[in-house]
Amino acid sequence: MNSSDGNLLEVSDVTAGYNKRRVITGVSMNVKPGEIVGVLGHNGAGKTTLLKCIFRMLSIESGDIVFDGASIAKSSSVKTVASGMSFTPSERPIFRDLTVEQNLELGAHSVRDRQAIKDRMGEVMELFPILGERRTQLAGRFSGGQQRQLSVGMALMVQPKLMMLDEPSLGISPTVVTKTFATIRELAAEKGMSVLIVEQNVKAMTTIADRVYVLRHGEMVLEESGDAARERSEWWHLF
Amino acid sequence: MNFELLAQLTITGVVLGSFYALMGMSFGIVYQTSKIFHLANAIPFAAAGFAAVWSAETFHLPMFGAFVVGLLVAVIFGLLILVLGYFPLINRNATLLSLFLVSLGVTVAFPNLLQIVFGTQNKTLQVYGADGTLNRAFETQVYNVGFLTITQLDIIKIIVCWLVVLCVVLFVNKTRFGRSITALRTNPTMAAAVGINSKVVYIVVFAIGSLIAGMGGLFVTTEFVAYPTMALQWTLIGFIAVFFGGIGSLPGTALGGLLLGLVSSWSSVWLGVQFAPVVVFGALFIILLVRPQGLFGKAAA
Amino acid sequence: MAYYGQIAINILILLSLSVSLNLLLGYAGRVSMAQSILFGVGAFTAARLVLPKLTDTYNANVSGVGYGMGWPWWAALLGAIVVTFIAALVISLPAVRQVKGEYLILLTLAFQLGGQQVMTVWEAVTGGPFGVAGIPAIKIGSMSFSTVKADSTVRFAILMLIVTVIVIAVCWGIGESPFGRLLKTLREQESVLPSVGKSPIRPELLTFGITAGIAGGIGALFAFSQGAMTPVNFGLDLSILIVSVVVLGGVGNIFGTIVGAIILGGLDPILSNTVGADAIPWRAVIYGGALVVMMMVRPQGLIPEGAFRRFKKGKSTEEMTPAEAMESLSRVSATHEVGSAPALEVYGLKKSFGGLVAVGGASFTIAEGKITALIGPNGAGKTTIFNMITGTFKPDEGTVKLFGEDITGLSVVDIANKGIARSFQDVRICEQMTVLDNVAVAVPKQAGEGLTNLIFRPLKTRKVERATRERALECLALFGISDKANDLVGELSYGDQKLVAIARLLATDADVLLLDEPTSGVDPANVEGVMQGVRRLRDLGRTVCLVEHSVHFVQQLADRAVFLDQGIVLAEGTVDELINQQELADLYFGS
Repeated sequence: MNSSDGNLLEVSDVTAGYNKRRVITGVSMNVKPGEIVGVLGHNGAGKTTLLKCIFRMLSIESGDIVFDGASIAKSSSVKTVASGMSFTPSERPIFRDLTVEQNLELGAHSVRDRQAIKDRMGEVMELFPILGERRTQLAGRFSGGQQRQLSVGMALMVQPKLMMLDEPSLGISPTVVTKTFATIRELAAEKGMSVLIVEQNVKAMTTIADRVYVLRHGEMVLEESGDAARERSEWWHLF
Repeated sequence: MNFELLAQLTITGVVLGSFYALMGMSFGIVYQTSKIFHLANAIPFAAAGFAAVWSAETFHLPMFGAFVVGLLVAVIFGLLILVLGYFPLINRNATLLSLFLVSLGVTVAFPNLLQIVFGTQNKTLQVYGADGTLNRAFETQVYNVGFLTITQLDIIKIIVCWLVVLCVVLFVNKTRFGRSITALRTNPTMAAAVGINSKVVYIVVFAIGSLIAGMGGLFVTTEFVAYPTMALQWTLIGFIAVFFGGIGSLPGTALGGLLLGLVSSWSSVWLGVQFAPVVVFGALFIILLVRPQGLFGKAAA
Repeated sequence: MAYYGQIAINILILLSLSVSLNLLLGYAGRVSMAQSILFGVGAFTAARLVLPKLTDTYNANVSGVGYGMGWPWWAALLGAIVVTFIAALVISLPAVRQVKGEYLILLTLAFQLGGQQVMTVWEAVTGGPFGVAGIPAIKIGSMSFSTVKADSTVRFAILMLIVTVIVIAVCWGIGESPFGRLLKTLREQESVLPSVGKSPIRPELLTFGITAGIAGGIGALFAFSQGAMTPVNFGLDLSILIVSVVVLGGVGNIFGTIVGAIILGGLDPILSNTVGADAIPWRAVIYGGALVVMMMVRPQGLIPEGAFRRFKKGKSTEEMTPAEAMESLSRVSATHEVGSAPALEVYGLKKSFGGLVAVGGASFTIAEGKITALIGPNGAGKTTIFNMITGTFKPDEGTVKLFGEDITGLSVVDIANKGIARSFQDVRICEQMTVLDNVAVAVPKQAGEGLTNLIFRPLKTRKVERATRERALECLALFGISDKANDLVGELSYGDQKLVAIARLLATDADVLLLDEPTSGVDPANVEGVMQGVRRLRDLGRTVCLVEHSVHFVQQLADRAVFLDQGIVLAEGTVDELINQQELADLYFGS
């Protein structure tokens, strides 16, 4: 396996869209093992499209994507989970008509080992106690923040090398956002997991990011360290 | 109102309605998962009947053996249509209209192919007896309970149909795979995110739908005969049960089918039994006008 | 001779039934599985109307019902057309309000199958399974037209040819008219019609009625020519055959339908000579199989729509420059006094979806003749507000005023006609139509969109259509794309498609234009072109309100902005004023 400069994920000059719509143009970025990387940008900038391309839910027009040393530009999304990536959408990130347990079980859809599924479910419920308390309740009944916790739990069920979260702060109150992001940082450190977070909420993102990118109207317009981003005061022209 | 007549009509209605519910299950599970207007569901229905008749004669199979062959053939044909007919179009992001036209093409070609191969005469399910002669496989017994009449086959029909409904509903709600069907239907993005392979789900769902359609075909063949155009009216009934009873609700579809059966049976008092299609069409018409999502369906978001 | 005459008649009947279905399926994009049974409804209606009255001295035929109303054949023909027309309107009623095409498929399928069953048992009307016999032939002067006798068969074939030519002419005329343009838009992007102030319901219903009426008329002629028929003649296979002819020939394309009908209709006698009795099932296998193969290999049909476009290009007019177009299009709006009231006023708009508050009480004004942007973080309710202004959603509370007139709660069509038009974030352009047609459909008050005008006032229709096309060209010229007027929109770049959509908006003549994310999906090289297009709208004196998520672009485009958060207006002013407010920045980027 190539080393790819030690990058876990490398996106090179990717252009993609739907039919004739061009959403991202010539985008390049990377994620190193154990890193927390943020992709910031305005609504419609192409952040979700970028994640979907990486996860292989969307085909790319040109460019390449290399994950864990292997090019995945042409593979299908069914294999992506098994290869060590998880994807949590921004809206409806859980199955509302199923219970917490059933959701977590589905999160582990690609996992063969029954025992492993059981063990991991226990871990997730320890991490997010509310899930354990209400394990047989329908996920649709939960608050936004609790649904987010469940969605992160579902991602953890596959023990991903790279966890990808699309706007995890959407629809959650600021205090819960802070808590959620803190939990993500702890998890990343504990498990040596890389996390790629797409966000509009700049402040929350910069608190935990090692590096940030800014996507504007489909183009990458900035890459800087988390520290630099935390110092930055002028964001309007980037959005 | 003659109570005896009403009671008898209710029995007839329940038998009919149970069969409607069966056909509703068959189309319903395919439609709500894939959104394909799978008119070609008629093919497994007819294929099962013809396969049973032919295999009993050719291979000297007993009745149940013929049934097994029939069901197998039904599933195979259903999957062939999915894999050879629909998948290539789905891969190309074809419109639902294109998929329907493929379904239409298959639906018109197949019964005519049957007619060319097997001729137009009705085919009775016959099995070889101990004496080596071909006899009708199933002669139903008629039971008279007080003033009510019901046949043995009617009872079997009711039991089997509702057993199937129960199995399908339990499968979808209680099994792991069944839940992945619900997942794919209610949240395709998330389903892809957890690695659910939609093609695999479609294959299972079509297999189930075709199996049930095959059961329907076997019922009609056993009770009456098999003939090339046998499937269409029952396939259509399945569609109507789904749209009437509730798109997206399998129990709703089953209940809708039962209701349709009862209503069309009761209405025969005024309209005559041959006008049952008018009643069914009328019920569908009214529901679509008044409550388009179906009796027990959920309103569109 | 009579043998060939009969073959010709069969092909011509199939052709007429298919050409009329093409109007519904090809132009309007709606599938009907009931063409065969409607053909039968016309046939039996005509039969019952034309059969002689039962008198004491007249004995009924042995087979079927031998008596009727005793009308002359032309009255029975008209009666058949009217009855079939009405039947079609009734059946399609539930389906017409649904966007999903499956409802119409299901209803027409049920009508086809159920209807044939009913015909088979309804002895009083159809004579049951034995059908009706003894139907008198058409008699003009001393000539009779029927297929019962050899010599009159050829005569009927010629009659049928004339009828078919008339049917083709009528369908062609309707399809290529402004009414037909409505149908094509219905097929491609149904939601566009209400947004330019035109209801899709009447055209769809009328088209189904016409398609059915023609089928009924042909059915009457069939009855007269055969003298006898049974319900077996009107089965589902025939409906599917008709659909196949349309699809295989090429949807929306009359020439393709003609080719398809000749091929599939001609298969019948060929197969009869080769496989004999199995001719009918073999033909069904062939066209069923052909449908499947076609969808796989060449879904646009043998002769795709627009194949003859190049021949229709017409005289090339001198192309207008944008400046000339600007001159031509500038005008003072006559619907209101300039400066009497703000273009758009919104007071206390509220909207919740199942307990979730999307818009919590928004109030702002949009000044006339300026570009105003709605900005705010995600979930600020911008699109919901848009939707409430255009009538897509009804506000829970609050009012919307257009130049002082209250338009709250009106329908999308009504609001569009009052002078607000909107574009869509996903552009919604009709790819299978020309650029010119895409824009022309938005021009208001077109005589040719009404069938009565088409039929009874052709000169006026033509005049209005010329003016419509000129107007559409002007709108295109403003954005510098009039040279592409005859190209199919599907061939254009996405940036140009967006410009066509904006030109379409302009063509509505609306004073207030709402643009939903005009630059989204446009690749970086073409963005400036789109933004220029938006500025030209303002230069024309139109009021533009847009939703655009990129503040960077809003800075370049908008004169003023309204800052929203959680569905409430926090500030109004120029873009620079707003981005200098720290509280807004904290809100937007989190704190």
